[in-house]
Formats: sequence, structure tokens, C-alpha cells
Amino acid sequence: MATKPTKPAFVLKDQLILREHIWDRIHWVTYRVPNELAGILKKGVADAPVRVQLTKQFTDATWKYTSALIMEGAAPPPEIAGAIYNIADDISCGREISLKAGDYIAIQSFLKRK
Amino acid sequence: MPFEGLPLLLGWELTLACNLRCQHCGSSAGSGRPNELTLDEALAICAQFPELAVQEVVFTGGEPLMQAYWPRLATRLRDLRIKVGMVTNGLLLSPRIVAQIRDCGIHEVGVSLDGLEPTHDEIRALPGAFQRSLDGLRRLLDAGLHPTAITTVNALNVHELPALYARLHTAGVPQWQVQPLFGFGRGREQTRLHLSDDEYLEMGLFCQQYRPLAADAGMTLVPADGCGYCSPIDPQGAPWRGCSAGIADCGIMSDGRVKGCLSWPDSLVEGDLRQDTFWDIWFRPGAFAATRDFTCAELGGQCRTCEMGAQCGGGCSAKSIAATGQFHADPYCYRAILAARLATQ
Repeated sequence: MATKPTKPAFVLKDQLILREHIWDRIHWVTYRVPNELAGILKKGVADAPVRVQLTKQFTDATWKYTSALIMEGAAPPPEIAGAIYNIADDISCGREISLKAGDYIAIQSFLKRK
Repeated sequence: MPFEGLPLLLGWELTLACNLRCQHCGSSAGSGRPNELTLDEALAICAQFPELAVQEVVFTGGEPLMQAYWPRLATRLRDLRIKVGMVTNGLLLSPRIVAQIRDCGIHEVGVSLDGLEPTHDEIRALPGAFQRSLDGLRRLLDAGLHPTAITTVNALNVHELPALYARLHTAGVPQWQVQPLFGFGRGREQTRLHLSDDEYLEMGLFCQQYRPLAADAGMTLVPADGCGYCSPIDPQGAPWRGCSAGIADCGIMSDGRVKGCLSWPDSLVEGDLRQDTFWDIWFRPGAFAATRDFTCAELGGQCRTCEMGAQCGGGCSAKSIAATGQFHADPYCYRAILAARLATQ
């Protein structure tokens, strides 16, 4: 059972986890081979996170809503609720945070609309 | 479910200008587009890549080395920790340019070689072009770079593939990309270059036979776009799962317009980076629907009754469009050709 931490550990790695149907395509549009990226992805998603450069704005906003959820029980905005719950769940369970591509896209889109 | 892909691999047509007028050129390259991106515009586009998790950019053209700002762009991308590759016809690969390529951090360069010397020079309509491109490849090797020879297979050169392999191996080329001709641009009119089913199959069987031989000899032979699908001739490993254009790959034209794949016709433009951000173009509801929203109901031609249709998605989008005018109906398919042969035996 997950326990509520008093001080959440919040470390967002600069790596995205892609859904299998995105990465599991050996035949990428091949402008030039060998496609190093495809080679990396072929190893499997667990070994092939995609690097992303997270901005301070992204990290701060994610932390703001995640900590509010964990510490105060405050519901995040509906557009990013799924993403924030996923991150909060990782923290509450003591897992390393894995940032799913869909969650990253949702939060980034939310910030762009604000 | 919202779309969760990202443009991890970008093809970037730096210019449509080219110092050759190849008979098979799918872009009909020659003159630049009337309103190509300026350096400042191109750099501003680069700045949008990190948030989209772009991992790799491949410069194409036209002839990308004819775009004066390519070193600035490559350097900026390197600074953004994005890998940069390039596809060139090789004519401009002087020692100075090769050194620039290396210094900019371009990690891999593809050089087009479309047959043995007479064939290549005929397709290029330039005597001596083969030797100049091969010299360029050698300079890349000498500079410690990792060049790839790229051969667009057509009816003129398909029978030369074994001899070309020997030539490239002798030259020390470490990698060879083999891909069929797409009937776009000038290539559409040059019907004498178009592959028949037998010739397409010959290309596949060549790759199947020579891949292990090449590997033993230290060369990687890779069948690229349009070699497939779901057949015993395909390379071993994970099977083909459909076109990734607009799902994990994207193309930027030299005037800032965006397509799922640079090989697609210009009528399939999804947006313009002079008007919208890359993020907005990529995530616009309904964008790149042909590949993102594929269902089996959209399969056409022989793909409609193929048991692999759901997985395959009807092959290479560009080749399908070039041959039939529609997505998801690529008639160049080893599986279909082999099945047709079996049926007639």
C-alpha cells in the first residue's frame, strides 16, 4: 500500500517512455542508414528511453501540481490529471519517476495553452 | 486515446537547389524553391526541436551542401544534443567540406551511388560523376567519418548490384543502403527506370543473399524504405509494422512546410513553420491522419485481402502513393509477388 511521504522526492529524468506502438517499428523512414535511433529503439523500450530536454517551466509546474496532490490532496487541472496522478503514484510508491510520452505531451500542451 | 508520438527523426530538405539533374529524382531538384528559409528562420525552427524530443535530423535536398548555412545549422543542432546526418550526391565533398562536416559534428553521411560507373553517369547525366562521388566517399573515410553509400535501385542498375557490391567493398565503404526507385518527380516520367515485379524481387533476393556475405566482409547492407513486407525475404528481426511518417518521423521542406515524409508529394503538406509552431502542427487534431488513424478499411489494391494488412498498413506510404495515388496499397511487395508466383505454378 502506498504511503504518503512527508517530503516527496522529485527527480524528473530527462527521458521519455514511449508506447510500444510508437517505438516498435523497425522500418523508420530511412533517409540514411544505419539509423542509429532505430537501432537504439530496437533494443526495446525498457532500454530505449528517448531523451528530452525538460524546461524549468515544465519541471516547476509538474512539481507544483504533484506536490499539491500529494501533500494537500489538491486535484490537478483535469487536462493533466492523469499525468500528475501517474507521477504522484511513482513518488508515493518510492519508484523512480518514469515520464511517459503521453504524460509529457499532456503537460507540455497544458502549459502552452496557459 | 490522444496521439502520443513525437517527431523523433526529421528529414530536413535544406534546399531544392542541386548541381545535378538526375533522371530519377523524386523531388525534381534543380533550382531552389522560390522562398527558402533564411538562416535565422532555420535556427528558430531548430530551437523548437528539444521540446518535441527530436533525436536526429538528416539534411537532404536538393543537394544540402548547396545551402550555404548548413554548417551553422549542424553546429546549432549539435549544441542542442541532436544527432545530425546528411545525404549528398558527393560531388562537393572536397577536403575542405569534409573537414567542415567532421568539425560540425555530423556523425553520418550518405552518398548516392546509383550503379556502376556508366549507369551512374547516365542517370546523373554527368560523365565522371561516379568517380567524383566515390572520391568523396573516400575522403569521408579518410577523415574518420562513417559514410554510407545509397543506391536507388531501378531497372537500369538492378542487375549490377552484385558488381556494385564488389566495387563498394573494394573501396572500403562500411555501409550500403539499398532502396527502390519511387516514381515521383522526374522519376515518374522515366518509365524505363521503373522496376518490374521480377526486378523488384531480384533486388530483394540480392539483399537477402548478400546481407550475410557483406556482414562477413565487414559491410552492413541495409534494405531501406520500400523493401518489404512481411515476407521470408525481409531482413530477420522485428517485422514491418507500418509506415512511421507522421508518427515518429517527419519532413521539413526548404520553405518551412511540413510533411510526414519528404518523399510524399507536396500536396500532402500538413503545415507551415512560418505560420505555426512545430508543436501545433504536429499535435493538431486530425494531423497526419493517413498514417496515424489507419484502419484496415483503408487498405487498397492487393493489400485489401492480405492477411498481414492490419499489421503492415499497406506498405511504404510514399511508394504506395507514387504507384497508385493512394495510401495503404503499395503494389511493390515481396509477399504479394511471391504469392502470385505460387498461384500461377
